Amino acid sequence: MVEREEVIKLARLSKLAFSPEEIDRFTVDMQAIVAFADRIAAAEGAAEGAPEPDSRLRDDVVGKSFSQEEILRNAPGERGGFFHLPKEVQLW
Amino acid sequence: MVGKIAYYADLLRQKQLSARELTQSYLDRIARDNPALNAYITVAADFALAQADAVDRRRMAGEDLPMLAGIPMTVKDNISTKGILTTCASKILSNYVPVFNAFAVERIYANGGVMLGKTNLDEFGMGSTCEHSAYGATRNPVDRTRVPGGSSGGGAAAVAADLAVYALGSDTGGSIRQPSAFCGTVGFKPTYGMVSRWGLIAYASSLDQIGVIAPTVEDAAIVTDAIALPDPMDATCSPASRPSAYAGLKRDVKGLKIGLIRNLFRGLNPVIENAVRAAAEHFRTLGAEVVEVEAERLDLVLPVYYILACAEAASNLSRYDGVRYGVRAKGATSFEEMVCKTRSEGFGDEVKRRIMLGNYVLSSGYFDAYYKKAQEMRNGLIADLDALLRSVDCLLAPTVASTAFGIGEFNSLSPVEMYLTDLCTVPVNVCGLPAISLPCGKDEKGLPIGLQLIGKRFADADLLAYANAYQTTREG
Repeated sequence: MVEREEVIKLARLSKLAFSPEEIDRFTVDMQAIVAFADRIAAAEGAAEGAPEPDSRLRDDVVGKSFSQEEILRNAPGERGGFFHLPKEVQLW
Repeated sequence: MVGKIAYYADLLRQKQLSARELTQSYLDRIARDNPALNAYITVAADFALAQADAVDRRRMAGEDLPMLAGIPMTVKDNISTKGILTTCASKILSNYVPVFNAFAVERIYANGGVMLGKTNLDEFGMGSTCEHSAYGATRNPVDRTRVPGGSSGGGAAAVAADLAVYALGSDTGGSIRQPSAFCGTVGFKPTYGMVSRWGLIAYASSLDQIGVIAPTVEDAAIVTDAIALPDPMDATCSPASRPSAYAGLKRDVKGLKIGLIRNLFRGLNPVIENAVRAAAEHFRTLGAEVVEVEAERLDLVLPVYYILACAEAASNLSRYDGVRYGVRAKGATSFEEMVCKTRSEGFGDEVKRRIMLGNYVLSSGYFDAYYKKAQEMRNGLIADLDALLRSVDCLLAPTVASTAFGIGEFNSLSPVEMYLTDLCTVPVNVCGLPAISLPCGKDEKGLPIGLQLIGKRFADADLLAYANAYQTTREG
């Protein structure tokens, strides 16, 4: 059974912030969904069987790509051709 | 029955109508009806008219143009369109304008297609009603108190209400077929690997596929031929050549062997069952043989799907962090807080639920029990359906076990009850098969019922031919 502490840890891993009420709500939802997922526990699958995809990798050759300007066009923060982020300094 | 694309293509070719006139008529209808239906998130009127004018210039210069030239269409808002807002119906991408077109969109443009705008969906493709959108719910044109289905609800509503001739959608667990069933349109999901996913904003990469929502099977076949081509930008897109679906459409189905999937009829609403069995009977009158078959592990497909889809979604949606694109939350005092705040404010509840479940099944301690086990079950399901498809030419089932839900009706269901409604569509994605939903009748309220045909891997042209045989010989 999914415990409240697990949901808090999952939220941290998922980079999501929840209020205590939201944690409670998600705990109930997660318990039901995981119980649903548990149905496969006793069943028998197969180690192999999926068809091999017919995928071919591209040659490792330099080709046309997007310009720096295009890539930065949607950036929420940009400075001097770089993505600009909140400053983070580890104090000694 | 004349397909809509061929009908308008003929008028355009004969210059009885210009592409601009046709496009303007669609824009006028969108202006009139979209406020009530909310099928479109973005209407690209100037863009569409410019494309239409370009088609008209080429035609006046004597150029022989493809069938899709000048035909107004729409694109689901999780498919990248260069220079045009692409939101995935999420707050987190509310300002995102792609710098490239998806491969499928490029193919439509190369055929002279006219793109009217971007249609509504459940956020990031996660949902079955088109109510989980940051831009409001879409309404079903058949009955505006009901949902159009999801996640490609906007596209299905647009086609059903004649606000576009056809729509590009995406299907991860039924998101083209189910809304097509609810709105009374044709919805085709090709074999996984037929259509490039380059430019489709990912939900679950081993399950997602771009497909078509259209008025007729013929229309779906024409569009499929245009978009289903090899693409080196998607390593999962098959490099093999594909036979033309349109050229091979008109076929006699005498001797065709169809497997009716018995598992999916258990506990089914009798009105739906009668309509789908009547469709099976119609195939018999065309000379096909219909036998009942049972797929062994099908009852477990839903937990398998949700484990795998959510695991892939958790990974795919980790890119939304406010760094390179999309919105960035204000007021954060550290990088970590910026990322958390951006994601928490930007994603809706259903997306958060699926990310959390995905990370749960991928976390150490649970990986073997859930993710690895689900992959093994997936192999088993593929083996089961492939075994059935060795003994029949295609499979038949309902698309959905109900007709369109009322708006808000899903809110009273738990997440698991919501997921259970996908039982008929999800096996197709888990096994990578092609499938099509087509209208096969109406219930006592006049709501459309969808029949689903499931084909063999990469036999998409055959499947479309079988569906065409049904649609073109059926009255009403």
